[in-house]
Amino acid sequence: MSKILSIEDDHFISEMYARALRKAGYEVEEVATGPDGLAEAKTGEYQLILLDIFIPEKTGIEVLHELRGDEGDLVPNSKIVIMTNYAQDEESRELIESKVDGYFIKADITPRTLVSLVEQLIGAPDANQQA
Amino acid sequence: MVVSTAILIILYATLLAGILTGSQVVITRFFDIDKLAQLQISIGITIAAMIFGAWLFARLFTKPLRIIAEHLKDFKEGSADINGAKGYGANAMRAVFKSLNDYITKLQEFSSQNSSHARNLEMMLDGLPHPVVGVNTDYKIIYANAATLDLLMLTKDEILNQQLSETLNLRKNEKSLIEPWIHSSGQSTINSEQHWQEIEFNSPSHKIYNFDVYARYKKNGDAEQPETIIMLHDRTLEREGEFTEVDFVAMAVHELRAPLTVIRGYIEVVQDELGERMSEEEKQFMQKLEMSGKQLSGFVSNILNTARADHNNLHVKLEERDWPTILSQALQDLSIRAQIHGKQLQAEIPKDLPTVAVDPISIVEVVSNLVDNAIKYSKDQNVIVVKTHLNTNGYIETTVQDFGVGIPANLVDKLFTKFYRSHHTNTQFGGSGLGLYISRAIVKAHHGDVWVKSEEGKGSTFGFTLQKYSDIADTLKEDKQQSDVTRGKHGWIKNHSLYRR
Repeated sequence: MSKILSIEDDHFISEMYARALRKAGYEVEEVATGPDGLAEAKTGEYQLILLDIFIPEKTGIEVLHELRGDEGDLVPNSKIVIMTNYAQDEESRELIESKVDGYFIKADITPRTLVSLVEQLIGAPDANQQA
Repeated sequence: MVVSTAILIILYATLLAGILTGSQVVITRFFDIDKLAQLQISIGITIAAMIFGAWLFARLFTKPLRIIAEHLKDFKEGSADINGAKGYGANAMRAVFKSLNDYITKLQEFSSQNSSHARNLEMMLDGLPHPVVGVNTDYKIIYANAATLDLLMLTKDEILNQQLSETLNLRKNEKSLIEPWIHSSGQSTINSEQHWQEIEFNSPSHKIYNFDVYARYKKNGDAEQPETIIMLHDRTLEREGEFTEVDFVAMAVHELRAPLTVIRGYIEVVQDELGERMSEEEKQFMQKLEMSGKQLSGFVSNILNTARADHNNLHVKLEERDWPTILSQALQDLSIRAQIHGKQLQAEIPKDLPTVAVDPISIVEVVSNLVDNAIKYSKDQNVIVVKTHLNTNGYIETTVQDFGVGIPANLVDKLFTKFYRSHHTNTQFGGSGLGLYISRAIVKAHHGDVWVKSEEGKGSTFGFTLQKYSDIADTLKEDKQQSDVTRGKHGWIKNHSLYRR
């Protein structure tokens, strides 16, 4: 299973990343709001969750705290990577870092870098899913 | 000034009322002619005594109050800096604390004698808008003015003889502020002053204050007398404004980055997918688009860092890294940028340098800013030389040298100021004038130095130093348990590097 959940409300960015990841052989589910992201993430089907911070209804930080907060790790089999264009102050950055497996500024990376990052985190896509 | 004048008026009004009521009583009781002369004398003596008393009082107690009031103005304007940025500020703070110390010491004395002066003094200190606390040699609070009681929502009885750390626990980066300072002051000095900025304090009413904290320590070892005076200056409102400014910039940067992400992303997609089908000229167009996108992305980060540097909010996370590796990787990207402008980057990077303490994301911005500058000001010269070595002072020094237009000696000092643009006109050289300003802020945050050597018409060499990791390893380990996070230029993922080519 090489399923990736992308929680991103900027349609252009979401589409661009999903296209690159699908081309590389991953299965990608795209959602655009906090609650939708939370519901999908809780299914436990995803190896990797790409989580934006500024998303509607519930912020990425709230989603993160629900997934890996006081109630423990609800997604122990998923890796979580924050993708944002909003530079956090040091304090919030540290709080986030302790709960996630990666963090990047979207404007600083390209689809190719994203694919390389995903490969390092969850490995190459399963052979049977190769396009 | 307003405070001292108001209190003086109250004091004199009280004294005057005392004289008038006193005289009336005397006149009704002793209304006969023989006694009138006696009465005049006694009124005269009373008035003289009271005037002398008032003068003495003013001399002893209102002068310090006036000093405090005058300097409060400085705190408000933010110019008083006890840590010595300005001599005047440090002297002002010394004067204020000497006065406060005098006040509180006298108050303790008068209180034990049950003197009416004690009430007047108390009134004066309670009139101060700033919380003021006196702490004895056992770190117990032995004095607190009305502003402190309001802040902590306590009565005088509840606060007196309480441990400072349990009542007014001021902390910075999770560490207690005052007690360790008193402790170390007590070990080494007799007098000591300190000023801390931007101390957050969560009050019992759940309001988060942002204080500047001033403290004066004077060794006396007497549990009845204050050894340390602490004064808090509330800067919450002003700083809320400042935070909004940085937040605003962060938000603007966020908005700029969203379309930039898509532009840069699809440039790459087009290059990858149309690659071989494009003509050589089209490939060059795409390369120029790619480089411009990268440059814009770097500039946008510079804007944010400038806002942070302006508000002392520029943080770097130092970790042990191999400098030749970071520098070579950065130069790979920059070589392409240089080539597009017809320049050639020559690097001299030895492999056997000691590891450095750097924040890899921000230090690459410095290299990038310096190389961009060299490209810009090389003019007709084609070569840019980047070197790094361990210098004789034990720092890793990196230089970027161009052979272009150079800078006249009288302008060198201005180079690192914000928005400073070269003496050449804007039409000749583009840029924002932020690159060197932000580079210096980043290098300073690394405890390093930036310098420039230049000769007009012959070119410039910009250099910066970094500390060896071994020189500050202990401090860094103390600050924070090093995590297994390895950062790269674009972000980080656990146990890996984002760089993989």
